[in-house]
Amino acid sequence: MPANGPPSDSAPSIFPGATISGRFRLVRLLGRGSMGSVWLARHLTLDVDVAVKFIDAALRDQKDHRSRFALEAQAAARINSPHVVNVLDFGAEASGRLYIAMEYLQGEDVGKLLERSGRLSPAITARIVSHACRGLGRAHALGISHRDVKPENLFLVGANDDEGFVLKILDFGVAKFAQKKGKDLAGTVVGQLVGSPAYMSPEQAHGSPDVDFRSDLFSLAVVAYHCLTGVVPFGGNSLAELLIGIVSKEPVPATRLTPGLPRAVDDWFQRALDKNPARRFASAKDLAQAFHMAVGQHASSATDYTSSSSLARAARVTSGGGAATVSDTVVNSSGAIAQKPSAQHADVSNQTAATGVPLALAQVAEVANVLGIALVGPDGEPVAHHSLMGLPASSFADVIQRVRESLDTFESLESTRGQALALYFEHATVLIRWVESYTVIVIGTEQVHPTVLSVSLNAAASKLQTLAKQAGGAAIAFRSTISSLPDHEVSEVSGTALIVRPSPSEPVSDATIARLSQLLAKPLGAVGRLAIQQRLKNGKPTVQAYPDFVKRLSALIEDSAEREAFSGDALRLVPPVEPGPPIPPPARAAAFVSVPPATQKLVPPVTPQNAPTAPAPAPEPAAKAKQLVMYRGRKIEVDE
Amino acid sequence: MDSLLKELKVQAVASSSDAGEALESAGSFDIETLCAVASVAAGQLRDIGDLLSAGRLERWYFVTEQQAYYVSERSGSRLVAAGDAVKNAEATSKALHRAGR
Repeated sequence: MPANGPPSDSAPSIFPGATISGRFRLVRLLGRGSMGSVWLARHLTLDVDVAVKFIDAALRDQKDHRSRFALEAQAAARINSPHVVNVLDFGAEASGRLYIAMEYLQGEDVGKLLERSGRLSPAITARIVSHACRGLGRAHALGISHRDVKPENLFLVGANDDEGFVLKILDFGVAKFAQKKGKDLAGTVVGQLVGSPAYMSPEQAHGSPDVDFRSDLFSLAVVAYHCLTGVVPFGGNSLAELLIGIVSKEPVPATRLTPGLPRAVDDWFQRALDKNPARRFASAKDLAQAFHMAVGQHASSATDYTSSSSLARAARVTSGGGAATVSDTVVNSSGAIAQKPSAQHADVSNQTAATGVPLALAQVAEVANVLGIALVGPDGEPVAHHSLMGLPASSFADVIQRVRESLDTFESLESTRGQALALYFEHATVLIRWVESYTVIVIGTEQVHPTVLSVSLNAAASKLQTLAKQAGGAAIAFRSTISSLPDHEVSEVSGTALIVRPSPSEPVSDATIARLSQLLAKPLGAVGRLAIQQRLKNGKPTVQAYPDFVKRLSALIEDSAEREAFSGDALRLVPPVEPGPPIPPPARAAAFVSVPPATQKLVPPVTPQNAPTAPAPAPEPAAKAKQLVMYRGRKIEVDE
Repeated sequence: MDSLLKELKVQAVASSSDAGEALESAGSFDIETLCAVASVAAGQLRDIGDLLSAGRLERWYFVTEQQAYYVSERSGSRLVAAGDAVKNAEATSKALHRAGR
């Protein structure tokens, strides 16, 4: 137990010099825990300092407190982790008062460190989170929830040593064992608040009896927020205000309070502090690993940090829907990918050779416990990546570089190309598939289900392979998949322009509906999927009716921020219908036209039928090379 | 080793030192080279674990167009196996790892 704390009265039978059970001699009072006093004592046979915690005299004869005190001893002893204070003995002194003898710790708790420092660096916070998660992870594996994770219960041993501190979790006084045969061993009363208010989880604030390990993870995230920003995420002038904040309000993004933090930290907090335990991290290890990656890598650019929604936006699913293939792509004879011709047509600017690429990656990224996925080019640079955890593109590039170096040695065995590599580490899983000269790499926690991930990745690789074949090569299909060229670079992009004209009467695709379901499931869960299914009984909405369809769905979402996010993401799945000449069904393949680089000007769509009568602006003579248009998997040459 | 060879249905299986020296083997393959290659590759693949703070490398497999190579890492040694290229190498990799423990 910690070697500091305010002095307090002690019971008459407990005093300096008293011998306890013939084993310990009390030296001095160290402080008070949640249910009793803590003394520095000397172990008489081992001749070492120990900390002895006594249950308060007033609680001595209360059965529930005695059992809770015993539980604390059992919990700490069972966990047996270097990151949980070590219990040496448990018993009753002469007057019947229970005691727990623990290792004597020297250092300070995180609460005192925060008092002194205000806020802590990401590196120190990561160490605190990492150590706490190791201790909590062990406890959770044994079915024990701490239920009072707060800075004062996280003790840093050796904080001033060069080698850095070791964190130990203190005070399992309100811990709870997983229910056995319907009995809560901690004897918690329903509706009773357990824990320290500022660090409580929403379920604790509700006084719910269903508090499990995920509550500890929430509390630890609150501690992490406090460490990084210097303030707790939920506050208020009264306990009621605080509890209301915990159960209903979103915290201020940490990056707003501490500007130097990576943006990935905000995503981490969003998940770790989710009101719904089911949407939080699945384990202490997941939480720690994700935190390490969030704070350890500074994602500074839009392409370095890609969340699910931002990638979906980058994908700009076309009128054909989410499962867009190379269909909506214009490629010139040199293989350059179409880019946006003007800011006015930003909606289609991000159409690249394979909008299916981000979607293929997203499917794998959403497998449970996947940290991120990337498609890496022959030059070792990721051309697309997707990480819900904010894993930057550079991490994938670094891994691929090492993989290449290591696999070179296999050339002495055979010369055929690699198809798959799987690496199973203690705390992570890395899976790789090769698609032509490109590499698909997935990084997940060790808790990823290997078979599920493998099957999912194989499916994605197969889809990418198909895209590459349809495009006439991976280099064409995958290049610039992260199509976030700034406007000023557009004029330098050689190639063609792209216009996508969705037919207003055309129903949106199944893939669009599938993606829409995913988006609505974020705020509404299964209810969202059900709502969409019910509304589809009369058929899919047309492209023209789609915005109204989205609007009606968004009305189901109560939270305004979530409603806006859903609405924005959903509307981006289908480009708005713009006025233009009608497109005859048989000739839709040429609903766009390529424009030579010299003009860089968007032109009205033409079809083979109307092209002679409604010609596009005359191209520059030098740019008369044949233009190749890909549509719905077919190559079409536009003869100028 | 013989029983493991039958169980895994691979061409060869071997145990090697961490440095890549073949200790025991069964089946027909260039065992010496296989163990040496696995040793060199494992050393570099372990760096990925450091890069990701992922801890110890426990097992891995590499599938080419023709072959599949399976490795189960142990403290100071490893088990390696080589077989035909398969679509789902996961099961064999797991089985080898179980045998290695």
